[in-house]
Amino acid sequence: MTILIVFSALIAMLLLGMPIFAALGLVAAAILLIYEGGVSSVADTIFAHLNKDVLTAIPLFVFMAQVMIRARVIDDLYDFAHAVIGHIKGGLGVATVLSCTIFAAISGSSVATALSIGSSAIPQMKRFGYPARDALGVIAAGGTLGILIPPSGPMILYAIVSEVSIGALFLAGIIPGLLMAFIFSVFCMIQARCRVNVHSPEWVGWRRAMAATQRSIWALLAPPVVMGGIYFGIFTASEAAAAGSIYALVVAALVYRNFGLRDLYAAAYATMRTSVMVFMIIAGASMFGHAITIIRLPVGVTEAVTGLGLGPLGFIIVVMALIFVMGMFLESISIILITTPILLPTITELGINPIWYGILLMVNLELAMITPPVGMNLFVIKGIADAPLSEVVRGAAPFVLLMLAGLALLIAFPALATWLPGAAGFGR
Amino acid sequence: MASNQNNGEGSISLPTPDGADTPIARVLGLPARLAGLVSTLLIIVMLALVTYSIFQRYFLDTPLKWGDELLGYMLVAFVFLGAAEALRRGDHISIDLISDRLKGKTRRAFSMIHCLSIIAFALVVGISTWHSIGFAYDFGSYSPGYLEMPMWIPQIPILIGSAMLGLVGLGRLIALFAAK
Repeated sequence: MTILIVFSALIAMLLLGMPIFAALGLVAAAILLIYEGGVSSVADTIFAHLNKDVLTAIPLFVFMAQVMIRARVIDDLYDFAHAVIGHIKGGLGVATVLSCTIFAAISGSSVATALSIGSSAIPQMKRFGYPARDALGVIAAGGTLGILIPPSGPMILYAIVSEVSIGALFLAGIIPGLLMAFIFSVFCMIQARCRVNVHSPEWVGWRRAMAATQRSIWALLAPPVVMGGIYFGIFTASEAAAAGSIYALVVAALVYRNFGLRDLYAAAYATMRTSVMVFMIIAGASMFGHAITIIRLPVGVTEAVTGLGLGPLGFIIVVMALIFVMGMFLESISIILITTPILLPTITELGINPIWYGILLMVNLELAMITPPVGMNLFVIKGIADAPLSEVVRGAAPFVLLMLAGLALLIAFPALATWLPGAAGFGR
Repeated sequence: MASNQNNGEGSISLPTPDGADTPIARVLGLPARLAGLVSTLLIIVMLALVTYSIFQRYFLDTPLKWGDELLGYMLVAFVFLGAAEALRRGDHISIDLISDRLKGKTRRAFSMIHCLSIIAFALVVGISTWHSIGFAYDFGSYSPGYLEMPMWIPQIPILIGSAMLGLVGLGRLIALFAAK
């Protein structure tokens, strides 16, 4: 009953248009007023949740991507993908997925991935006869890879809340991310063969393909700098983000030579706006988490679920269905921060690997970005392409099915997620 | 979903939030702009600190003992000093499924609720932080790390940030009341 009241109040406040951080914080304040008679614990709770040096990885990864976007390093990335694979049937779709995959390994955000690649890819795909719907769909879906392929802001948050290693979670996302990219690419090739007007650009020849590869080498080297450091245990997540940022700054200033102090400030300002938005949800969610712990809501959920006798697989399927529905209305950060503290005791109780669960959660959050009525990537694509939302939704619909199939694969074969971190020595 | 999906990540231009583009909202938003500048600079400082810490550990073999602690405090300051500026720019996500379809007085009522929720949040956090700072100051508590910093100091940005969040919300609320 309590859970129903708490969530009804939260949903009502969200539907009234309150910012998510304020709605979470105010529901928490109401609970604290009723059960503790005051809100004096709020400040300590927020301070304790934000005062974590590891969280600096989030703004630093955003900053790294911002620098690369502003220095136009990312433009060369799309040119590279376009030159090497664009000429095959459906190749422009594959080039878009490939660019998204590589940029996802630089940026920790799906929105940033969709924005940066979308602005180059959509006009190109339309030019070569792709229906607008197909072009918008592949960008919306390809962009979501940003949170599954490391680095990933949402992964960092999940890792902190569930107390698993960020490095292990990052590594666990690589194979599922590449698998998704592969599934998307195959689908793009099949889809293009079904469209009569789609044609492909001419093969640019080895000389130009090599030149495009050479130009994009600085973008292509960024993921190994970041993930290599984590894989070999040289860097923590925030150190890898700092190393990536310094790498991006050096490339922008010394190689591209188009990055001055004004650009540095603009990149930092944009980073501040994006990151603060995320962190304020963390602040609100920390209050919410504290309040629901006081009324023993997570324990109640664990007892109820254990009582149902679902078993690990049944539990995962029910939770994934629930998060899929939540994802239609909420964005990823809130879902992680609201559900994880509630579900974590049950996950532990049932002996479920939290790394595996984390990856399933990320795939589900990718779905949340492209499922209507509320999906961040749908809105972003609508914004950059100036297309009706319904067209973006229809374009993304097949990818929703593909991602559900990918999710089912990951549920059936947990090793797809858990093998790599195990091989790198995490959890030994 | 978002009242504004720009979030500084790209170049989509979306309408400014209701009541944001008025003289009163602009005046009450001035401190937020200044704090936003400090928050922006803090990103560069945090980057420099982490880089310096890597340098110390790998090249000088003398790990920076106080680096992580200072980074945590900086992050708190970064968030709360930037919160009001992000609000002023319409970056904080809200679900506008209903409010976006509204017009006239009902839309204004929803916008007022939006502002009131921000003011209420700022009050809750601000009052609680005020008490927490007072307690830390009176009690003379110090951080357990290498910095041994008086614990009221790193909490000050939360107080300042809450005040500015409240001010930006208030400016927008007054503008909405004054609108015909």
